[in-house]
Amino acid sequence: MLKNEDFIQEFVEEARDHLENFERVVLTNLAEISAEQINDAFRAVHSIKGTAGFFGLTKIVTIAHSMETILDFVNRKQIPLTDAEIDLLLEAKDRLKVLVNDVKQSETYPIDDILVKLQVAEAGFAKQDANAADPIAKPEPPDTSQLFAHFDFNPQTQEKITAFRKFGHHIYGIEMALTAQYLASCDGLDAIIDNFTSVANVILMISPAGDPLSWDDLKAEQFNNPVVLILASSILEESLLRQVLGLPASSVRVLAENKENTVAEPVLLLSNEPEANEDKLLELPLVEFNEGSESLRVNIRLLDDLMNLASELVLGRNRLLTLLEPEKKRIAELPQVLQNVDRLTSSIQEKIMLTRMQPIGTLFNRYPRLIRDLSKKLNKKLTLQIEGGEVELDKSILEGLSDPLVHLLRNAADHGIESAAIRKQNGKNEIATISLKASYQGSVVNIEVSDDGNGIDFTKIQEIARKKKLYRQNELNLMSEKELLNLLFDPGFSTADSLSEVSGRGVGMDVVRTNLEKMGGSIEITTQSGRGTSVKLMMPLTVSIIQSLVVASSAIKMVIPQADVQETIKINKESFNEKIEAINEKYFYRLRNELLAVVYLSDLWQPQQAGRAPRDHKLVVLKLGQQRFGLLVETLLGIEETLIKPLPAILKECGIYSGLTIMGDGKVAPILDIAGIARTTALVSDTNTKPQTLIDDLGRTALAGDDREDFVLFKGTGNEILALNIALIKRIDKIKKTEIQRIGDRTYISRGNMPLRVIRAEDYLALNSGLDDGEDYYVITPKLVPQPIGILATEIIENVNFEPVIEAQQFNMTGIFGAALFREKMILIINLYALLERAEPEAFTFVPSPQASGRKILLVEDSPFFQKVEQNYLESGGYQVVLAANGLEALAILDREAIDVVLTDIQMPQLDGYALLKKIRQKPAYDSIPIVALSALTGALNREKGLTSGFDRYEYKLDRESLLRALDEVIAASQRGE
Amino acid sequence: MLKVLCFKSGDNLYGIETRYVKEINRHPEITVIPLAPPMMAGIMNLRGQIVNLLDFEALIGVPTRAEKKHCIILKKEAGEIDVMAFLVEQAADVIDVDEAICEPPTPSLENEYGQTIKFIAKLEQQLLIIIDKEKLF
Repeated sequence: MLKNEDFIQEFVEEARDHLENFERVVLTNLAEISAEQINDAFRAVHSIKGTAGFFGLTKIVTIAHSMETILDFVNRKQIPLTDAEIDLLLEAKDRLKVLVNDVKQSETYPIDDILVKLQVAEAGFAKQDANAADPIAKPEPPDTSQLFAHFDFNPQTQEKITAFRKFGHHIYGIEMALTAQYLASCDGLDAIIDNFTSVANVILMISPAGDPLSWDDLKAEQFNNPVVLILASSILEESLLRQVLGLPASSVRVLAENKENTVAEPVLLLSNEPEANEDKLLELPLVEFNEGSESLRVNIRLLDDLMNLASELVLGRNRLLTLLEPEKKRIAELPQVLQNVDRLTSSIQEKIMLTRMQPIGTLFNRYPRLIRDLSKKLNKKLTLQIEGGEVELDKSILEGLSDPLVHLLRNAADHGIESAAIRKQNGKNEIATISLKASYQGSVVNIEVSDDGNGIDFTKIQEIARKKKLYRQNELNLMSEKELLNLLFDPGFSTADSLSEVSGRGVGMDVVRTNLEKMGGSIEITTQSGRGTSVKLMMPLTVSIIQSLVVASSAIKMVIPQADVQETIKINKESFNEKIEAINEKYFYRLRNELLAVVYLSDLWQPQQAGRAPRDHKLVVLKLGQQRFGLLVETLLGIEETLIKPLPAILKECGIYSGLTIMGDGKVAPILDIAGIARTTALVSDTNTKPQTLIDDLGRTALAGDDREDFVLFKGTGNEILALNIALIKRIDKIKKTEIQRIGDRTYISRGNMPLRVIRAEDYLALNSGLDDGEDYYVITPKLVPQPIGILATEIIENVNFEPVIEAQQFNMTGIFGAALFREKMILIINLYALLERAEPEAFTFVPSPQASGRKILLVEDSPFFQKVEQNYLESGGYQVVLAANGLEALAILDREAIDVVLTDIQMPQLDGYALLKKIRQKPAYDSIPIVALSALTGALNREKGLTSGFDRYEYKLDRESLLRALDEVIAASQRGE
Repeated sequence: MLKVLCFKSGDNLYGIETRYVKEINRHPEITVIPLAPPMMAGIMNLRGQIVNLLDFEALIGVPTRAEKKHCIILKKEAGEIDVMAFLVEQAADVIDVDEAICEPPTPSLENEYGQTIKFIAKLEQQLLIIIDKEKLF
């Protein structure tokens, strides 16, 4: 029976706020809790009850009513709350929150359990109440609420009031305390009087004792009694009047119309029988006064829109300024106008940004509860100290901080703090302190989570890193403490001995860091043995518009957040080689005696063109946490305010961008992700940032090259881990076992009303088959095959990226290219085409072209895995294959053997594909030999580059059909003499 | 009747139903993003909105060497975060296609295009390949 959708949404939002306030109050230290605060809690619950009643939400009303009753006992009879009762109230609050969050279904939730508990508590209070022989008098209502009681509303006054009301004035009761502080803040009494008379008309002015006063009396009296009560009229709204007079909320009251004769009803006073008085409470004109009355609820979507528009406006201005720059001299008034527009735009944008700022206290206030719960669960005595709750951050950043902070607090409580017994032994306070501090530092907000626990145990980190085979002991021995701390960010790293309920939920520090970096923040850990650990988060104040440095290399513009830039250094081409020193193609710069690792920006996408032409560069020194590195760019285009747009999903895998930006000229440029660059180039020490180099069981490291491929690891019914190249997979779907139908000796599923044949790899290859007892299956649909078919898997393990190093000699199984080791597990890489051929020879066997037989193909390929793959493909196409491991070998072979087609990889050591192409084309004798490039990357961009450099064709390594077709075509073409 | 926006690629005529199309841009200013997946032609700014440009030919796996001039910007459907667009050789007219002249793709075409074809429409002068937008990404 919901009455109005819009209102109910408002109710939900309000109720959430009320519940938050409620929790804050209940968690206040009991010794310090004041009657006013209990009142706050009561009011919070009461408001929820009132509005919920209006909407007919009976379950919410019932719980709220019970909570209210308990609070009323506490408030009225001064019966203190016990710990258990606080727990109960919190539990009830949680329950209310659940109902409020799902308000439309709230009537369907069972609530009897919590009601019973609340009623038991109520009964307990009632008993205590009855036992108390001499009930304590109820506390005096706050003086201000009876403000009007002091005034004498005689007919004369009444007349004045009516007259003012006719002109639309409000009538106010004002309590003005002329304290030294108030006087000072308003520049003295004269100023106060001027101010007052300019906005309000005094009807009556009295002292608290009831003696009439005038302004002159005030001047003469020199404030023996600083409090003055004034009945005044003003056209201003209550909040405005208060602002003008600089008075607190409690000292200005609106006199409601028609109530002149019956005032003196204390509005904030809680009645003895809340139930009976409830309606009256709701009817009263001033239900609530709080600091919130000066603010306005605005839909966050509207703010987001405003912010986007403001950002656009900034860009529009930038464009305008650039465009009109040349006109400035011609039109005399233009500079002034532009300057004005410039300034106004900046302030609009700034103000709109401010609307999204929220004090971090709203977030921090959630955590006392967490610490309280943790303290019980872990059986440790914990207190939480909060500082800097007033620090403001953009709303979206605040939201993003919520989970990381929970994680860090849990870590601190679980891993950081010792048990009470040990603390005592070590002479520490049994009650451990966890502190949460926020502070500004320039345009960055620092948030620090620290504990006074035992500090991080480095030997333990080493032990775990060794156990988890992340590193070998000798490597670990060489690591500095900082590097060891960095290990904590390794995915899945957890120092707890066992997974406890509290931490170790599978979300590690790596996730925390990733989330922070996404918002432009960073994280640092410091620890002192026996003294504690501190985790510092450095977050930007706002999002969306950042100061950034626009750079370019190879004519491609990119943007670096100014906050990441430490300095820029010009490096002339004359002195380039002295200044940028190289060790094994790693570059370094001596920055004031510090060795700075340096990387070419263009190397990120065009690695190491042979023979770099000398030219001027700029070195941008970047800081990443406490580390630094340099980025060599060709040009600096200046600093711009740029608007950040989120990175499309499709660009995330590039790994070096954090977002996109629209620049002043309207063009889009990517924003460089400094942490990502450091990771992909392994510039800074950090286990996470190292590429997953393959280390096999003999400790050999796989050859670094571009031959890394993405594989999907999966399992059939047997226990082998199978791998299929991602590039060969079109899609993977989850199906139920019951969807598989058997027709004859083949199995099918239905896809888009068509039967799709599905096969098990283990039925056709020499693999183990196991029990077929699962419920779910995955169907892997390959692409680049002549006919749709599916491969059944019982489990999709993960996607991995590695360079397949193949024990080719040992593995000569049909349908398997070979075995590779990945993270110490044996993985079988499937030869898709061979598997399909075995499963359905009539559809998948490639019929060799008649002109293939006897043709010799020179296959130039450095990776043993791809050598094997290509050789297999070529032989299945009927060709003879001659192998070469690099360009030099290939040239030697061309010298002594007649070759029909050269098929070459691009990236190879010792003469790569492009260089080989050049060499072959230089010899007229080889003129008629077609040269086909093979690449691990497919697609238009690379294809274009390959073709423009003179290859006859450009083919994707794994696509057998396309490769063989291409060979057939180039052979035919060369025969025709084209 | 299907309302179909036609566009050329190589010798083929393709079509996409207009209900998927937001607009056509004939002068896209493309920013190429290094390291982007090969099918990604780049990014453009459409009145403050970031649009992901996909090379249509690379996407369906039938590349040609022709220059691609026009950009078909797709509507953002519920649940999609990014705005997508195709970079095509040349966008042509919007025509009404009678379902009666549409046929499902033949197996030979399915081999080449996978499941990305919805219909083949037998227009008088030429066959029109109507792509299945839902199956593209």
